[in-house]
Amino acid sequence: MSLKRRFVLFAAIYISVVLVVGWMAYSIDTISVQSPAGEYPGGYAERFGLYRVLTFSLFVILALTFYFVVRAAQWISAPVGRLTEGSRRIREGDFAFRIDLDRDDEFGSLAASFNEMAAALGESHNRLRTKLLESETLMEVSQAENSSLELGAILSSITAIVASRMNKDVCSIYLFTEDRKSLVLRATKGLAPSAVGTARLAIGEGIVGAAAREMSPVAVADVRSDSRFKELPETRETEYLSLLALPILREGSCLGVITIQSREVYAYSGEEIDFLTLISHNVGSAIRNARLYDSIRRRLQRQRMLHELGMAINSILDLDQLLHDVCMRTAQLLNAEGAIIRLIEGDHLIIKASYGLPPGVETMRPLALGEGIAGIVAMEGRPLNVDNAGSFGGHVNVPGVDAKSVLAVPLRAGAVVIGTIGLYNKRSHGADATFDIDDIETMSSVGAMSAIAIENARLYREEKLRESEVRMAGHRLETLFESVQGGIITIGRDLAVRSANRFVERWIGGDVDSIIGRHCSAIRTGETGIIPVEPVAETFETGNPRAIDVQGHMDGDPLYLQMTTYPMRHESGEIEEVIIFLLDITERVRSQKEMLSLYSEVSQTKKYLESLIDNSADAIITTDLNGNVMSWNKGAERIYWYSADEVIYKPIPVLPEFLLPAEAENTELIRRKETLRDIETLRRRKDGTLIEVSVTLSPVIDEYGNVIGVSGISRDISDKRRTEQELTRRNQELSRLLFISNAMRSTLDLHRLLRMTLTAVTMSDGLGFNRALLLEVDSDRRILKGLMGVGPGSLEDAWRIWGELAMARKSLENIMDEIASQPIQRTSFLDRLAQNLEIPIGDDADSILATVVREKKPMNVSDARSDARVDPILVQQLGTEAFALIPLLSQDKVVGVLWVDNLFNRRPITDDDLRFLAAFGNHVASAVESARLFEKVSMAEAELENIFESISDMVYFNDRDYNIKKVNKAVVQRIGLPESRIVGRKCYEVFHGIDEPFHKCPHSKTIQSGKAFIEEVEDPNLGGVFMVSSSPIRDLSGELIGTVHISRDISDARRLNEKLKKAEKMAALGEMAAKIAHEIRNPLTSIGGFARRLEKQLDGKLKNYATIMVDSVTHLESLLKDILGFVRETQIVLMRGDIVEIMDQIVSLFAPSLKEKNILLEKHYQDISLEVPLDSNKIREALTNLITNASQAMEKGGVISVGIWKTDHDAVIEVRDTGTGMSEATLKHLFDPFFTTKMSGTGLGLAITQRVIELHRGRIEVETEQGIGTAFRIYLPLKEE
Amino acid sequence: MMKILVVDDDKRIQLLYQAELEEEGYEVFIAGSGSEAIEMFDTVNPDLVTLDILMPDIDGIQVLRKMKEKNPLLPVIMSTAYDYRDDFAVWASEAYLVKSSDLAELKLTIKKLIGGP
Repeated sequence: MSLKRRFVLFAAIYISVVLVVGWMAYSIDTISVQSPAGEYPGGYAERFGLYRVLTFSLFVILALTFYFVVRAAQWISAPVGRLTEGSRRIREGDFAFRIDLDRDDEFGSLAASFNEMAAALGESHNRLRTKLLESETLMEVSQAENSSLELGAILSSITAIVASRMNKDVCSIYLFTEDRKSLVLRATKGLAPSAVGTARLAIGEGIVGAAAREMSPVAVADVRSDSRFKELPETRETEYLSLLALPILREGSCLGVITIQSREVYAYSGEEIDFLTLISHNVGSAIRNARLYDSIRRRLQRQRMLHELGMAINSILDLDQLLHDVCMRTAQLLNAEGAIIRLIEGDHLIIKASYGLPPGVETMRPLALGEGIAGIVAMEGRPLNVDNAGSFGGHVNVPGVDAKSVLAVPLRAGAVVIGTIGLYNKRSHGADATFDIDDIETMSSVGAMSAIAIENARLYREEKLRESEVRMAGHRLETLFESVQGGIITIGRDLAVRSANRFVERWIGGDVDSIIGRHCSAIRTGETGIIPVEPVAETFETGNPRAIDVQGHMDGDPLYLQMTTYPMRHESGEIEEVIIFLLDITERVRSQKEMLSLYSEVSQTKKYLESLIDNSADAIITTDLNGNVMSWNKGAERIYWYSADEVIYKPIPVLPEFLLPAEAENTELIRRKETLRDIETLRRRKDGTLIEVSVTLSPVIDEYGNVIGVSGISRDISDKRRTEQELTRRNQELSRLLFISNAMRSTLDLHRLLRMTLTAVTMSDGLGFNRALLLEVDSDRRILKGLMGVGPGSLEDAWRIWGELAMARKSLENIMDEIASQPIQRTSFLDRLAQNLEIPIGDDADSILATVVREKKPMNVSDARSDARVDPILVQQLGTEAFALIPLLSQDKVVGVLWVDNLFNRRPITDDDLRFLAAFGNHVASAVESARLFEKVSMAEAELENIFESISDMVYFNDRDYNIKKVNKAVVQRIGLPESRIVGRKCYEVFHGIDEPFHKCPHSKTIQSGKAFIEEVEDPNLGGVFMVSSSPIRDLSGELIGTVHISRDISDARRLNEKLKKAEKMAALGEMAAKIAHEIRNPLTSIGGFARRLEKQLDGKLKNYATIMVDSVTHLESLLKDILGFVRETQIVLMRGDIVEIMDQIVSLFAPSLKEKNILLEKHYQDISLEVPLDSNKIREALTNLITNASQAMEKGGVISVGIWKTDHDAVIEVRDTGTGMSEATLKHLFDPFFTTKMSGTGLGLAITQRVIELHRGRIEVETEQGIGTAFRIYLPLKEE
Repeated sequence: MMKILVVDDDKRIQLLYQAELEEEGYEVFIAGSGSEAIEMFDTVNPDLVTLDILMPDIDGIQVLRKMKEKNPLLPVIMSTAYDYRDDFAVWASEAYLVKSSDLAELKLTIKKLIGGP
């Protein structure tokens, strides 16, 4: 029913109802007027009835109206509401909404058409949405294409977008490899990310491969049912069932495949395929763009890296680092696994650096030029690219590297190939690749660049090396400058000090900096007196070095400096600076001076000796072993008439030819160091006459003990005989004189000589004077000093002596022999008197003695008492009345005066006597002079020798080359070889038993530095610790010629020290023992003693008690005895010891005090050592006592002679003095303890000595003569009994 | 009667020696110290001296020396508690005895040196 009809119906119903109701309301009003009365009075009754009808009718109408209105509203609003909602839903996008209205009216059709419209709307909306999605997806894809420059990233984004947009589980992109043989997964959303780059399919393989081959999409709803499907395990794609694969096409070629996959079986729609195709186009262009970009980027990158490389390698100056850097950067630049740089050295390529290769590479053997890839490249100078190095032969392969692609280029600096750089195994996108033309180009650039950089670095390295050398040299110079043991000063042209080393400070007395910059005269400060101005200026001027010695003073001592100036030239040749070297040569100069003075002394001595030889009456001739004359004295000229000039260096001319064989024999004997005395033979004079001569021939021995010549003293005995005959006739005295002088010549001991002289003068056999005094000129004090007097003390004495002499029939010769061999007594009255005489002989002295000295003439005083020139005191002292004075002339100088008189027989002194005396005097003078000289020399020599020999340290001299030149006794003893087998050998052989210099020995240091060194050396060869000092020996010119070594065995000292400590400890122990003994033994003694007394006096039980006490005490006493060692006797411990050594030690101890007392020590040892069993300490004590006694017996000086020799059974030690001697009484008590004649001393000395000798089972003998001296002889058995 | 001077600082020893030597028939004099011994030496003029060494004032060696200086021939017996025989000084004495409670050796030595009393 339509809405119109329905409305009409309603309206009709409504009107009819209204009419009915109205009618009824009217009718009802008339019927119903009889309503109950009462309530409404009167008139109401009717009204009421009307109203009631009216109201009711109205009510019905109203109700009807309301009903219709409500019904109508209900009927319209429902569909309208639906429609309204529908349009709202559509508006909201709910295109699925439909109005569900089952009406057949207009609303029904309205709803139907609404629904239709909604459906249409929904469809078009969906279509729109898909389109939008697609275009959004494409937009995103193209955004993705532009969002990144890296293809991987782009593809990755695309897969993600596609998967999400297309609402698929997987989207993947496979691209062809460069060789276009296979497809590799490049990006995926949904598959395992690790499969990217590894998942690989050949063309045609699997669905993807099929799509690529067919170049058309392949859609599979369920791969399980598709035989083409190939599952790639690495992608973990098993759970995906549907697969859509689309080729990515670009300009007709297939670049790869894009796939989508979903978990459920799904049939891909054409739209999806189309859409994906659209996307695949985009991917295709993206790939192309990316590749294009990649290639540009790669080019750019290479350019940049090349640039960087260039920058980098040009900034590296360290060659090693540079090479390594080049390797690394090049390998990285070209994506190579490793790189090697080889440089050409000689004919080979040496690996210098590598990168990315195993560590062994550096040690690979060098390649020869032309060998291997690098060798070819280096030789041909052009790049070589090898795709498969394995085919090239084994020798190019780097160990541990599977070399596939290799690219090597030459390192070319200019036209020169200096090496190669090789790259190994190019990698591209994680896969092996080969080097392309780009790479070769790049590498060539790198090669050129690197070569230049390498050359630069090499240059730099050389430069740096040179620089460091220069710096080192500078440093060296600086060190030298400061450490040199001499002053160094440099001076500029302005003569200002430029620099000076610290050594200079010692002379300028202040900081060296204080003179820098000042004029060089400022160097002179204080008093040193160094002014280098002049030599410096000269060196500047001439350019020549200049060396001068300057003398100055320093702290008051002379200072000698050697100043040397050297020019320092600038490169231009101009002198820029002058260097001054200052060397302190004070020590050298001093030692030179000492040497010179020593030398002059020696030469003076030599001169004396020469004059002695010259002045001798005998011919003294020396020849070499071939008989050539080396010296020829005046005596020889006199005897043989040849002058020295005629014969020197010529064969000796005086040998008669018939004697030559005999002379040759003589020479042979002399060669064996024998001396031939007083051979009477014949010689020929210059005029050919033969003369009889007495010849004494002795060897001339050089310092090494070799016989180098013959010295002959010949005396013209024909002359002598003639003279004798003459003298027999006229003057017997001359023979005496000759004899005397001969005798005198036999000794050089001054005292003996004087004694001989005076004895000769006083002997009746001689000159026959009664008394003689010898006075010596002391030119310093200008006095005549009495030396010796000979003659009887009184008349009685004179008669007694003469009588004795007559009885003994002693000839002059006997007496002389005695004097020569026996100790000299100096006790006579006259001698003592003589020694006290001191007579002034100054210019103002006018005594007769002074006159004799001044006028050099003999003087005969016949009446002393009346002669005014004679000193009365002298006369009184000597008791003389007539005497003669003879000056003793040596080289025209008065050296002394001989005084004689005949006091006792009063024989007048004649002029003949005087003449004879004068002649004698000359002999005496020269003899005295030479004896004095000899004494001096021998004293000094003996002293030196004594010191040298008595040093218990080993002392030896070495030359520069370790040859031993001289050794002392200590060395001989220590080494145990005779001196002859030590001297001349190398010191290290002798001392250390090795055949090369001992490294600890300071000798070489001394030789090198010229300084003394002391080292403590432990020497296993000699067995001990030695303190070895080595000091330089210089010759006269200051040249170092050797060293003197003093080697002290300090191991002994150490041992001794330990011993001493032990002894001290023992002594302390002993002292304690003594105390204990005292404290215990005394009471024990008294207890025991009294117990014994009681024991004797008691009886019975008490006696037993006493006995017990005695026994106990006895036991205790014996115990004490045992403990304290009382049982022992005084003991000596006999061990073999060298008595010579002991004696030497003792006398060396005494040497200083003996010298002080003017006591000469003589040693007469039969042998250099004599071993006997002895207790060395006790023997030392005993011998020391003897020497002490001897020296105390000679307060005025004298001679101690020590002798050691051997008899059959005993060693004999003799100590002989020339002291006072002893009286009988003294002798008797000599060995009594506490007996002494001296003011000091214990009196125990000789008692001890005797006791010691007795303990050695030896004996001691004394021989003494008052005024002559004493000799003690000790006999020690050679063997222990 | 022979006179013996006993020099010892120990009273008990003095008593013992005196008793024993007097019993032997000698005249015994006692000196209790070195200085006393030197003092007594001249007045007593002994025929023999027994001499201790370790004494408080002057030791026996000094005493020996003084006595020997005065009379070198005087027999002196060193009688000590300790062995000093290594000391050269005591060699000047005629005998050296280490003290013992048995005086037989001492008596024998005295007899040898100066004969009976």
